[in-house]
Amino acid sequence: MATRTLKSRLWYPWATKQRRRRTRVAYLFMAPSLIVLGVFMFYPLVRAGWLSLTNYSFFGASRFIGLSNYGHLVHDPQFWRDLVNTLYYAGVVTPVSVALALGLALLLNRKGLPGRGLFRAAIFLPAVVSFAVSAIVFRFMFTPSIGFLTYWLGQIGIHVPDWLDSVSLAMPAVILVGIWKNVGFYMVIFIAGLQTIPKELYEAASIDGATRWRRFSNVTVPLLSNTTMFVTVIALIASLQAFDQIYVMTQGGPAFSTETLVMLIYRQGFTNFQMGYASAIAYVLMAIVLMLSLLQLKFFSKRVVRY
Amino acid sequence: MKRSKHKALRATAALIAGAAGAAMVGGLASASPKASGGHITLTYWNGFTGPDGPTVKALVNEFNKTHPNITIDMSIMPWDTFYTKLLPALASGSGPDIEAMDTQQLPQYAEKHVFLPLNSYYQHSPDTHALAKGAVAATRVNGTQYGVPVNYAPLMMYWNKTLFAKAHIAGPPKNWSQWMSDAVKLSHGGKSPQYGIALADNNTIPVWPILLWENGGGIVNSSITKSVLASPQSISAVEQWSKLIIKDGIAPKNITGADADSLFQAQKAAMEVNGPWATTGYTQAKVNYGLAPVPAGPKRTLTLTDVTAMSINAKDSAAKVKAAETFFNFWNAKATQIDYAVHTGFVPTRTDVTAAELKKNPQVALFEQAGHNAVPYQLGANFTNIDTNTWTPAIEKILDGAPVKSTLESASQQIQSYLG
Repeated sequence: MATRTLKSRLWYPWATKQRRRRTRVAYLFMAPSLIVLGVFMFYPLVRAGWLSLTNYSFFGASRFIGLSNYGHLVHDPQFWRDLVNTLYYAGVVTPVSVALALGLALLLNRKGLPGRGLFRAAIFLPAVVSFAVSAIVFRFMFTPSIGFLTYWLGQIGIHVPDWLDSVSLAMPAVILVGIWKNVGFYMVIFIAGLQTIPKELYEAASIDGATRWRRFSNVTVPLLSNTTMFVTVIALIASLQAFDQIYVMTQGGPAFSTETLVMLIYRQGFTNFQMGYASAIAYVLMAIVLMLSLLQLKFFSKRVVRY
Repeated sequence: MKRSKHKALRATAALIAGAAGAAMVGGLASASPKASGGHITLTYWNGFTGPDGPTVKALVNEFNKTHPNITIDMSIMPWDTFYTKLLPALASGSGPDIEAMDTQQLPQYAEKHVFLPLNSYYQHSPDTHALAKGAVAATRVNGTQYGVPVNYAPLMMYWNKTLFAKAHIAGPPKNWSQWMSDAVKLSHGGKSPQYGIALADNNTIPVWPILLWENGGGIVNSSITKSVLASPQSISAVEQWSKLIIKDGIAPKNITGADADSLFQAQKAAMEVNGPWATTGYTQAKVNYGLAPVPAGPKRTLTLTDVTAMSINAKDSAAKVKAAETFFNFWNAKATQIDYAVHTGFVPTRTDVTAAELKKNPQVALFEQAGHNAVPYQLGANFTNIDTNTWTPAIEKILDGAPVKSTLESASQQIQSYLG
């Protein structure tokens, strides 16, 4: 490699100079993004890693304590309870929103469907509304006795339980909002994916006598695998980082039944001011997200098909 | 050539250093107190977003007008924002000069030495002897004063006269047995359910502790050294009231303070235990309500008083501390307290204000009377761990069907571990 570089430098010195100049220009163009990433992503990442090895709590001297925070975390029932809550939330929200988005995309990708544009816009609309705003609206809808859902359904004889105040129903309520909020965005990505599949493949399959189900399973699903992989990965990451609607709707309650790991990080960091411990939980969450994302990539990469 | 290049480099370096220096000076100037020419600006953070907010603003404006050498630059924000921002701001040196917070929270901050001890202020200030002893005691942490009362708010029972009349109940309950039977009579399901009482358990001014106290129990003992949550009296109080909520539906389960207020305001709940800040909203919503003392319990007659206190940033200069103390004197002066009480319904922080001076707002006298049987809710430096992280989840679990005794025993063990 070194010989080859030396050779090319000796034979084409002008090419090396030009390449260097091009590299410089490329870095100059990348500089604004790199600076932003460095300041807001990489530095906090490294800093949080360091904090996770200390007992930093805003006040008093911060002391290096090695892996003590991680050791404490293993024996902390709050961590395990919130990990189960997080996996429960992500385990429902991810598959349901991806499946629902795919179904809606298939339905709304049909030409000639009346009101197609309107439906697409209506389903996509929650994606552009702030999560906090959506959560405030849902919180009002679920308010006991005087909420939109509870009151009006009560008027026609349907008694809706107090979802947000029940240990067993609060999580399904925040899951519902999570699905409602994201499904439109995933649907748009699926529609874009569906539109890249050549029509000829469907025509050929039809001529061969393939049923609608066979066309879906043998043409749509394999050719949509890249899109499905992308949607599933971002859906899982978003689910594992659920915070906004939970903070607004339940604040992790009742009795911590909706407290996820991100809520725990927030509580430890900004309520209990245990920044070192909160950073350790954040690092563990990052490791979980990374591991699950890699597993997903491995699973889908084996199933990618190109015709 | 080389020489001129060095010269150019030196000039550039000097320019950069000069600019950086100027920026630093500018930065320092903006961060340092605005104390030029003897004039001092004090930043003041609080969470008076409720109906009392306009009165607080008007009084601060009056102070600014009457004290040309001092300006109070007040920021009012929601309490949750306030508590999220305060400690990081104080740690980074960008915190306020004065802040007002609930005295329940004060020990957690005092323990971190972010507020100035105010014992000397209490010794040399002429007016502090007139302050309500209970309010002053609530600002004391391990014998040191860290705050000066802003307001003093004993809780009372709000009762809806219209709903009581419809249920043929003559007046507000006087004791627990009447309270419980009235709550059952005033509750019904159907298309438009109604509750006897709106009893909040989370994100609220604490109401459940009153029930424990009145039955002879509590969460911690008076010296905050021992958990009493698993005492027979505490367990009995929670058993009685949780049974009424779960079996008889006298109150919705696990609601926040805001939910409870909404229910009472919408006339879907006939009773609510709340502070004087709620009077303005209910009056504006035309709720036909009355105020009564919290009904007497089997063992005690007691209510909770909420005290908000102002503290001074421990990093403030002597000049700023003096200016802050001038503001404290203004705030707790008799004229200011009469004005504040009349417009907000809060009880004056002073004990020398007469009923005649408060006659423009007769509700103040009622709250003042309730204050005679009122104690603050104090859990010490472990407030968040004991209240938010242990006691509240325990009561939420119980209202969701968990057994009372074992849940409280488990919570009590947890609380004891915090107390050491």
